[in-house]
Amino acid sequence: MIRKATNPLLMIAIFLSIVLAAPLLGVGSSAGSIAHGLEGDAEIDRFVALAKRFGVRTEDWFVAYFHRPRDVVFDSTDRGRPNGFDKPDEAFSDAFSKFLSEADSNGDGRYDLRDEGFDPEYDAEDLERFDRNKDGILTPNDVAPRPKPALRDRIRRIIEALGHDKQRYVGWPEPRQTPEKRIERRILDLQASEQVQSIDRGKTARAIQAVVEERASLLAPGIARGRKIFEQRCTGCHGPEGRGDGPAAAFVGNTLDGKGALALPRNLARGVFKYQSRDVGRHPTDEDLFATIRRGLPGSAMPASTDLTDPDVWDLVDYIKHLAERAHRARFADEAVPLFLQSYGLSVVEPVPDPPSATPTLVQEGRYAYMLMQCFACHGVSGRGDGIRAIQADTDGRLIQARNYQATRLLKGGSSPSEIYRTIAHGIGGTPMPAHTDDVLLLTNDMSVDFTEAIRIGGGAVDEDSGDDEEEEEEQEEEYEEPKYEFRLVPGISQTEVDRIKAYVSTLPSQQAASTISAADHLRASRMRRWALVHYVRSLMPLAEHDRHSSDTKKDMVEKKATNNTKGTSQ
Amino acid sequence: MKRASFSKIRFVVAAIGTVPLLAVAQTAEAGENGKQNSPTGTIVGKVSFDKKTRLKSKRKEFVKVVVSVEDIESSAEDMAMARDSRNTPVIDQKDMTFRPHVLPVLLGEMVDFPNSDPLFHNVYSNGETKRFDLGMYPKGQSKQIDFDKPGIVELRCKVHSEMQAFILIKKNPYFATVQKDGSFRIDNVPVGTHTLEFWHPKAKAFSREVTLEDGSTVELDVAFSERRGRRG
Repeated sequence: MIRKATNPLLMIAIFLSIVLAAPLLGVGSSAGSIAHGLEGDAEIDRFVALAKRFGVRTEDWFVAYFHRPRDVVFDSTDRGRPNGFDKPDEAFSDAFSKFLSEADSNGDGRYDLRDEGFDPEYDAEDLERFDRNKDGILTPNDVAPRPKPALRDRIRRIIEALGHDKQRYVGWPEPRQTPEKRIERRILDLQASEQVQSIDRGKTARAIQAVVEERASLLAPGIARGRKIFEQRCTGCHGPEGRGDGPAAAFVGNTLDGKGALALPRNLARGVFKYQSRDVGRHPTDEDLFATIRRGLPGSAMPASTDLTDPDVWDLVDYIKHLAERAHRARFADEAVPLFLQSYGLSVVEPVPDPPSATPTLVQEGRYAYMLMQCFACHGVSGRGDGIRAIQADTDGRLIQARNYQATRLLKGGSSPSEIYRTIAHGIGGTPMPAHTDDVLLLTNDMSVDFTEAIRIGGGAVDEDSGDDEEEEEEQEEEYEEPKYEFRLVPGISQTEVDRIKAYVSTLPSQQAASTISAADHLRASRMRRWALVHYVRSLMPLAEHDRHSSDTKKDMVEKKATNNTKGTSQ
Repeated sequence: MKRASFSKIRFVVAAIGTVPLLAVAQTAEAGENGKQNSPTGTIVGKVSFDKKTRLKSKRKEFVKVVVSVEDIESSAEDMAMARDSRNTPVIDQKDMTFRPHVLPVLLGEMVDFPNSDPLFHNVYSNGETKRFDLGMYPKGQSKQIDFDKPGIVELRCKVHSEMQAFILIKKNPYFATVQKDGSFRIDNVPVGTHTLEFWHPKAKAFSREVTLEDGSTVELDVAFSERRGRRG
């Protein structure tokens, strides 16, 4: 059994199977505390040790793990804790499937924006009935078993003990050095030569074809290796085809209290990714995908993969690109250039320059930009993720919530200044977080300082044509009224602040002056403003606990908790 | 989906020559000049919604209907001429709504997207016909983009996820948006037998065959019978 384990995966497999099998062989069978399928602090310790070693694991991840361990740890020998879950009754599940089979027009097993006729207003009654987790759409999540209170508490304790803010943080990889980079260069040159009138187009097309084939053969071994890793580690949530429909997908995106379904597994086949250093509508670089796999997405079920070697992650990157490209090719057979190559060179990868340090002036300017750019609409006036539009649908129609900066130091796209800079610049793909391009960030002195927000005053307002031709009126129609809005001043902004922002705006260039400044000055101004936003956002974040006591262990945590408790009781 | 169906599709095709038409407000969306030589006809009609669509036959829904001749592919010159004869189509962003909700345009046409709300808006599409993202812009600014592939583009606003609009990109100028009273009129359609398509974002699209003779007017009275997508 103990061969020379050169494959890190094999080592993980062995380690995991030993650790995870332990409860089954030993204490696991001890009677008494198994009502909810967990047997005490020893198990919590084991999970904490595991998660510390393998990177950030989240609530969702543990819910999925306890329900069907093998969906998220492919070689786990753990049998899960099926008794710890509540299942919806059969009648509900049947009615749910029946409704879904009728409503799901594109056959992806969900009823969402991409289905014809999806309309929250029109479907209100059915959604009310079937949308068990209240995420606004119907997915397998709605019929998934939910952890019972006891299991929920246990998971909370594990998460607490993990102290995720203190997890090892993994940043950017070194730029990837692969033959594919050269291939990309050649495709770009060929495409450029296509623009020249005199060139023989047929020849260019054949040359492009040849390079594309060469790329395919170069990538093939990596894709094959990546596929193996993907099948072992990713299919649980992302599904065999990467469509975000794996068996564990039903357990993630459920917050423990059962409210909200935030950040479901990505449909990788769509080729839209959240964090990227290319412009909106383009595709992420290999390095972007690498960083996401390594770091995981804190705040979602996507765990950090600190246990994979670099070459493993690069293989995974190749396979994920392959999934998206394959799906794209199936739809657009006539496109000669593969999806990810289309982005190469077509848009500028904006290098994230060295950050200026956070001076109070810069932070203050960031606050002004935050207000003027109306970030408060979603993130709230104080950055708590409680703006009037904090929760709304992403491009797949599922609800997603704006980040509360005051709650955590771990952002999904990374929390270092340059990563926040990137997220602000390019937005978050597929979500309401838009890109803030250089144009947008060049503020002028005609900016509105009437901080208005639109509140929905509901449908059902008086119909303009009520009264005319009602010949077909019989039973009451459940009529869908267009939503109506009212603009009002945003509450919670002090007059002092408004005055200060007014004074700031008056120092900005006029629109005319702004249109005449040189491109370089323009770029400098918008970049500095983006940095100001970065530093303002960072100023909102809680102090890092590990800055104070960096070697924080479980013991410290427990002690701290104990002292907190005594404090509480002594008062 | 719970109601019994009255799948009544009234379908009247009457060629009534040059008889004066119903007194309705009319806009001819088709290009006018330059095609007098070839024989053409006119299509007029009225649209309504059957019960099963759960849409009311009212102006709010009528103006979302696009009627178009689908089987003609105009030549590049004709399209250029038609484009020149029209004003730049506009979709305004006002009161948190794209206005109009449905806009038919010519292939290759530029569409203007002004922002008239006191907050930032965004326009993007992830669809297969056209993928773009115009970024964020405040009140008073406008951005433009051209549509170079026929089909349907669903527009959305990133920061206001409930905002939605449709642009229908057509290969010929023979289309019209239905008027507030449910009537429509398409002028200068080349003679022959054509497929006329009726499209509404929430009702199931359908088509009718019409045969036009030179100088004739064909009158149609049609109804959307079903909801889009979901059965019953």
